[in-house]
Amino acid sequence: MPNPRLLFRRRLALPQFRRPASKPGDPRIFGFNAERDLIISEVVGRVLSEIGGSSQTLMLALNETAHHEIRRLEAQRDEESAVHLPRWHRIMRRVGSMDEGKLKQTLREELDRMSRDVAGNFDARVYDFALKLVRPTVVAAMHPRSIVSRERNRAALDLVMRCEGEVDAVQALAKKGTLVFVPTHSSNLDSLAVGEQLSRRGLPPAVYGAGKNLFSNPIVSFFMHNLGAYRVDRRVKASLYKSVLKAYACVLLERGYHMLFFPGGTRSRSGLVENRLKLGLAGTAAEAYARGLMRGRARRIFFVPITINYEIVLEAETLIEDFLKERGKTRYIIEDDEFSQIDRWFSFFGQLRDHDAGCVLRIGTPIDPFGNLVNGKGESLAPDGRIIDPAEYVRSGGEAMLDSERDAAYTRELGDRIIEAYKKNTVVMATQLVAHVFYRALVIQTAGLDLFARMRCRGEVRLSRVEVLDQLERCRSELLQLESEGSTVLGTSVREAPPEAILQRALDAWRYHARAVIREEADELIVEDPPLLLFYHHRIVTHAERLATSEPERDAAIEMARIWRDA
Amino acid sequence: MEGRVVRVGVIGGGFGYGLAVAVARGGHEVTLCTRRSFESLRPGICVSTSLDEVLRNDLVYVAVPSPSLAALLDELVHLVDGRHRLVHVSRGLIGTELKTVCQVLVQRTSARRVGVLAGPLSDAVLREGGPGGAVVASDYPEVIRCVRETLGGPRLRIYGSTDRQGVEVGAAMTGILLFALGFGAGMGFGPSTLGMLAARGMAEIVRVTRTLGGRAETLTGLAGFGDLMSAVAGDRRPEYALGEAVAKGLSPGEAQQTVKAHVEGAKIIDDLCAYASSRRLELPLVVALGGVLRGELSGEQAVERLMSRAVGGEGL
Repeated sequence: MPNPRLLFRRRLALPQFRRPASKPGDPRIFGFNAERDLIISEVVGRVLSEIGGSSQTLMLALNETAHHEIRRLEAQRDEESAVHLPRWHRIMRRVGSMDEGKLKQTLREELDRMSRDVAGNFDARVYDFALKLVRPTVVAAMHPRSIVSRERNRAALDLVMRCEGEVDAVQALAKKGTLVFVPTHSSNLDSLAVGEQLSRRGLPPAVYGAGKNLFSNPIVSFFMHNLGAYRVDRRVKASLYKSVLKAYACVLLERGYHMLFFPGGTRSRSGLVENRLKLGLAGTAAEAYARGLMRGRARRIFFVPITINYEIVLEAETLIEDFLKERGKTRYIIEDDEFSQIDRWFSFFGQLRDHDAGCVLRIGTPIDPFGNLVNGKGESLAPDGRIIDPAEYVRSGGEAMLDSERDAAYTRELGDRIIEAYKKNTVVMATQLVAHVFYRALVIQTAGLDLFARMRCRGEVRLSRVEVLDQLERCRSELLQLESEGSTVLGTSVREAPPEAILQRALDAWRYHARAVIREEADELIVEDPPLLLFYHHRIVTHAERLATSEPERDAAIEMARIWRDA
Repeated sequence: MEGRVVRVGVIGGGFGYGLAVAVARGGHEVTLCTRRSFESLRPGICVSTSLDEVLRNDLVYVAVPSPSLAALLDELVHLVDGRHRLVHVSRGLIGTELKTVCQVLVQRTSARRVGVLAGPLSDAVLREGGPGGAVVASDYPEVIRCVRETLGGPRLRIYGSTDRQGVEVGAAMTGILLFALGFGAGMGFGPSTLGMLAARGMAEIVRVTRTLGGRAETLTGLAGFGDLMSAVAGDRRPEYALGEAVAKGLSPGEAQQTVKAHVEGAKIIDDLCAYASSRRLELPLVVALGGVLRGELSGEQAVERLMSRAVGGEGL
């Protein structure tokens, strides 16, 4: 009798016989399944040619993979081990006596198996269904009466989320090349927010990578598997597997599949905007572009930085707790946070509903794989505005060449440009500005304490309302200056509302959290939750020194900004 | 690649001419951009005053004195693209954020493949063909290859490094250490005192290099230790002479006139003091020298301040 749990681990797909064929004009990903086998065979061929044809290199690759896989599967002791472990033992026993042909054939079979495990699937019916599902789910949580019509759904969602920035330019670029969306990541809601807004703004769906652990839930797995997600098994340590992943990303980019990566790798625990990126697979863009040039069919690739800005963050409490534990070197993996608690969802959306545009997605200027800004026509621009030829970056002696070390250096440069774009496109919300004012006061009043001692200062720091409003006004005026310099963007309330309204908006928004962040007592405001203040203030910590107007504020700013530099 | 003729551009006629001679000696063709005139030129070198012409070459050495660098950058912004490999020889750091020249080149122009050539490489060694050596650092292996191919030779060893930041910061900071040693010599300190000054100065260099993203071990190489030893061994660098003059009571302006050369280290000390203050970085020697250069401290007061500090572990 087969184990029923195994059924859920299989990839569930809808029946194929009624599957609609992709039409001309459909996004590229709609035709993915038709060329899935071709893609896999290209990946296998590419990795094999990287390994080289000699018996020695083939044997080395096979031995190394067998060694890592046996170690992993023996430790796992699960259904996967039962299926695959005997095969790897067999390979290990025989690899020494295999001739070159047999080595190549075995390696090809293993590469094919790995590539098929990684490769996704796309079903337009599931995509349509998912889009129809996301909107009403969010709306049901916040505006139950609006769910009766599609129009009301839309309007209700507009209250919560707004998308701004270079939307038109990116729409134009989607027709000229491959887009790689690189958003900031601070909540599990980010995927829903990006997916919904891309679709709403007429931008194409994108392929994305997801950890294999996410596929263990049958419902999530069903959607992941049918929406083009490729699986990344972080337990597999063999370098052959990493080569497969890189080749897969590269082939998809070459073939014009738009992609989405969260380059921070994981949700920002501290609340800081990402300042260290893991562009691993996205780093294959320079190679994909060079390969296209070498074939005479160069397809442009454009990176689209997106900041996802929340007035309140669903999982803020758990994230900052994890950050503090990590600083204390006892990091643990979050398995159960606010994302899995349905009552917190309702409470979260309930608060957002009362806050016009409580979530803002801001799309930055697109960037080519070499870190140059790109205009709406898809032309790369030098800093003086000249149009430059990106092909020059991968040419040597006039010919396009592959060079992995060169491309790694380009990718580091690209990462720096994406971080700059994040800083410029971070939308300052009321909660962040108010948190900054209170946290700065906390640092000044607890000078000499370390971070952890400071986190325990609940109810100890008081500020008069007048003082808070005065500081808010001073900070806002400096932020307006920063906005005029193009260094940041202000949310509507921060830009336009009087300080009293900014303060009230933040205090109202924080009611979502289980604990009081700031307590009001007559004309005084008392710091009750330093960790949450730290979390929200971190979002604008890069401007801390600019917002300081006195010596103690400057000293506090230098101390606070250290976390960004050291992060 | 071996034996092929490469066309190379060099910007700057002082140290740049030495570079041009060394490149031409290897049988490569050099276009040298300078306003200087030369009575006779080595075969393989042609002189031009047009930046455009020099930038027709993919590989370009930038060897202008640091004060001219800002003006040159203003022009390069409009001329450079992804085709160029730019290698500079400056020992400067720019602004209070202490940006390296490579960082500024990448930030302000569309060039990406940049590198730095540093170490105890004198004009004489370049013109005479060695023996000598230098280090070229870049994130791009092809830049390192290009420099080796065009500049290296049987008696000129060009080592490669991927710690671009470490080499650039190390080269700049060595100038400051030389200033400190000149200052110590001018104050009449003996060898043992100078030895302590050098060691504690090196500890500060390590702190700055690490903070700016470089690796401490790079400082034991040609751009740090190598350059320092060549200066101490008699390759009289202007930083050393400036330090001596300041210690003898000359104002920084008078000392600069005596030295008759631009001293990069003096400018960096001011920026470094601001950087140390904003980062809470412990750089007592640099801060004391800054005080002397700004006329806030006499030589004796600076020494007194340094020697009266609490003594701790010999940490870097």
